[in-house]
Amino acid sequence: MAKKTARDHILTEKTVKKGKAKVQSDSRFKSLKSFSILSVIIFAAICIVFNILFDKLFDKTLTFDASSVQINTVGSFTRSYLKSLDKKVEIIGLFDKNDTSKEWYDYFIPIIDDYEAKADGKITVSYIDPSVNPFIMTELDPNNMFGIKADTYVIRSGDRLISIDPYQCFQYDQDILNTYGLRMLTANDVELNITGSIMYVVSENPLHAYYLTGHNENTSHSNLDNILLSLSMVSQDLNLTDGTTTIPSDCDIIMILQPMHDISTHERDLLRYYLDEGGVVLIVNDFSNNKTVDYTNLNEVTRYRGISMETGLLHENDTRYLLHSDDPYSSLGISDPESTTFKNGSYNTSYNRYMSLYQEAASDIVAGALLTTSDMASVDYLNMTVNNDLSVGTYPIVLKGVKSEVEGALLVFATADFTSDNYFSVKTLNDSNAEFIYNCIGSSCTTNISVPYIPEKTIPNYNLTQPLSSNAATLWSVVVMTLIPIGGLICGIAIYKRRRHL
Amino acid sequence: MLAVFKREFLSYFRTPVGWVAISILGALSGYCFITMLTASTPYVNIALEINYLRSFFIVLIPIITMRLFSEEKKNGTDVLLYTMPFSMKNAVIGKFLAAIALQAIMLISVFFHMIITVICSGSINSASWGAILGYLVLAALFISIGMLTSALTENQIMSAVVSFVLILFLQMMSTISDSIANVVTSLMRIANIFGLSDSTIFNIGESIRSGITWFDPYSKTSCYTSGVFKVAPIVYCLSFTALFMYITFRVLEKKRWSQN
Repeated sequence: MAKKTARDHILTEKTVKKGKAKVQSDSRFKSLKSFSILSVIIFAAICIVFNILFDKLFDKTLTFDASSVQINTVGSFTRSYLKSLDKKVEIIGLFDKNDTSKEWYDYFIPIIDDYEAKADGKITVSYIDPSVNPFIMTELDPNNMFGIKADTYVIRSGDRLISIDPYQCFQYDQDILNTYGLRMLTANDVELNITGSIMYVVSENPLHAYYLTGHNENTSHSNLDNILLSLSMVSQDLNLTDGTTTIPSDCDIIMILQPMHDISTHERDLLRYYLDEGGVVLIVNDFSNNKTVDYTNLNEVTRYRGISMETGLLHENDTRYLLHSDDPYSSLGISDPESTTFKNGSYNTSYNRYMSLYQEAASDIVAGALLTTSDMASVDYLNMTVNNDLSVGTYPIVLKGVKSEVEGALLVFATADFTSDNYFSVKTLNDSNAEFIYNCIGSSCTTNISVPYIPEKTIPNYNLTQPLSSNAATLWSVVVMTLIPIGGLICGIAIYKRRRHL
Repeated sequence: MLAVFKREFLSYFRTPVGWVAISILGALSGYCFITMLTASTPYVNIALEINYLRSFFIVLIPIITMRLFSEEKKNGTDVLLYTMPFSMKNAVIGKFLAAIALQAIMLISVFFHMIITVICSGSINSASWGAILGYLVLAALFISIGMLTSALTENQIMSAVVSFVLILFLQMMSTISDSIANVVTSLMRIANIFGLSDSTIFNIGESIRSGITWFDPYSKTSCYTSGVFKVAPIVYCLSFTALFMYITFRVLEKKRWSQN
């Protein structure tokens, strides 16, 4: 009663006639209502402002990579490189950032954010969807020189830009890709690509690699492209078969990957001239597919630097170096123990073409092996019988020929295992072969490789390590799909029946 | 507060609501889990499963929250809340904690799946735990919204429908922001009275889009599933949870003092 009296005391009864209705107004209630509305508005404003400030000030610093292989953050080299970056770089994602349907989405967005966070404002990241704003394509590439497409990243600094296709930055499970056509990511080269691209766009003198075409060369070399990019080197095709085209002046290396027929005399002359001018030529053999090809002109190029490509297949007889005990043609290559560029380790090689040092080379030519077989290898010929003319010994797998007082070099690989996508799609770019080719090209094209090889990051594998039997799958299906939900429903029904009258 | 929490939490299990919610989530998560486990190449990614479950907030949260205050009003027990010797804040917090505890218990099926994954030689990594964290902070935000709608009406169905619409709006925020930005840029291009260039109009559209999507809790918390731990989304979800709880408190205070 006392409470009611107090309440009555507070009430100021005003009888307001609105038609027939009587409205009782409470001044305290009104002020409470005003206070409520005002306080909610203030609280909401504080909430929004606080979150905006928090986002701006702490979002980057209070972001942690909890993944096992630090897949969402840049490594130590990239971190220190970004600190020393002295030019502004733009990273533009040409897709809708909210479209999470792409397989690579989760592996790109966080690490790109990390680039922005670690670059102290030197790198800006933006996302523009070309389907909404088509003019962005012409704005970025007015002359359509770079072949920019939607669903790619463009990295730009000043006038120089490079386009990165995210699909090229991953390794895929080849079994699943070939069987079901699905891309299951197994490893991630995003950092290798992005850091290399940034180095390329800010570089004063960027390097250019050219793939010689026109001889049915292997065109599947996206992993080699990634390795080149990590050396700040961009690649493109070069066709010299028309007899008039010459080697571009910006060419730092010409690569001839597994040609299926010989080059022309015009190309031979151009390549020899290019070598004399200090250029680098890399030739990759594939004995399994082109054993019958006559490489007269190409051999004249290699002999120009003291290397001779022969018709023969290396046969490893030392079982310690065999990759598979029943396959003498797949073996470990051995690098020079004295070499500082190449670690003395195991490099996988297979179907190595027999090569030799050309004895009639000019006196100022120096050729030597970067990688060899064991000292118990021999040579098989086309009919796969042991060749008795060549004794058991050490045979080269990778040869390098240089001319005194001339920069540049000729590199000849007896196998495609250092360059082909077929190899790297299985072994990934963390394989020592990737590091070997990286060092090989890097040391031949630049005076100093200051950039360490950025390893590939393994994507977490969610596959079951042991196969699940059909019985086990059925058991778990029954338990998960029926026991738990039905158990819950039975409990609910029982309780409802028991308590419905309460 | 503890008394309210205890009463509310137990009430979920004294009525079919809690059991039905657990059953629904168990069936949905079980379906997702079994789909992965029985795939041609069996794999289990718990983060994917959690991501899948997040899309069912729209159904589950209204079921859990519709009765929080509406039922009190319907049964007339709201007077008890108003006259109990504790602040309304405690009542709001207690009910909120009960709902979030139920959400956590609903995840028991996911924990069960994690155990099966380990038994079947699968892997549980940081992304799985991150996804659960993201799920719970998102659940907290949506529960606070559902609680507010429950406080606004005494009709449980109405409360469920309103919270359904609000969660749907949040779920479709990126689509809505795209549409609004497209409409605005189209209108600006048609009636370009200020003579703005295409890129300026695009930038205005982008600002509108990013301004709206900044509020999208789904995209904010999606980082956890890829193993990235960010504090900002947690702060965002919890601060807006606090805001909605405060609004609920004010609504109840208003009701309390408007009693005649």
